[in-house]
Amino acid sequence: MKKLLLVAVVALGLGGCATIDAIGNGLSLATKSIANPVTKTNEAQIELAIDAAIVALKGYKQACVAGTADKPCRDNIAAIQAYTRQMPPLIAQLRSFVDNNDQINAAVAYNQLAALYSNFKTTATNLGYNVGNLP
Amino acid sequence: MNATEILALVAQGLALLPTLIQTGIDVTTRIEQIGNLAKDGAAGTVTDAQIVAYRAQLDADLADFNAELPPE
Repeated sequence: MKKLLLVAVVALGLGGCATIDAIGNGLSLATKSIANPVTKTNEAQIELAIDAAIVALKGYKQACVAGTADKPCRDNIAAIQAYTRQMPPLIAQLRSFVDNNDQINAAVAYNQLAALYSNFKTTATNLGYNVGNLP
Repeated sequence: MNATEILALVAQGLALLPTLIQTGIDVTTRIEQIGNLAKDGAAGTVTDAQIVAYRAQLDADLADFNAELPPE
């Protein structure tokens, strides 16, 4: 219970009400709740959105290793990784909750992941790396 | 999701391609997947196999990006 409360507090701290702009109206990563439950399709949507951005960032990382990216690329990647390294456990939690139709915790994990994704994308943009208009 | 929303999705996806291609990054596959998922989601035909594949793909990409950079 304490763990769940902690997750909820962290989620709120990260901006639990955040709604991320998506690709058009087709991919809406809106805040989830019991009234707006997380479906497997919703989960797949946020996973694909994150994956698309990660693929773009992988390109940046490869360019950095090859020495063709900007000079501070190593620091930039480290800054972005501070967020992306928090994602795997959250994603695992979300999948488990969705698979078990545990909508209370699924909504918490989903919103936390959406907020984390928003923060990491903002960081990438602030560091001068445009991942496009992906959600 | 209705046809208008799906078309908007496709249009937005196409609009961002030049930005990504300009940086030498090919995210075409992911954009296609997002479009396909939107259509399948609207039709209620998303399969467990699709979900498993998307999950595995993200896990692999995240692990790759999150790995330490090799020494300079």
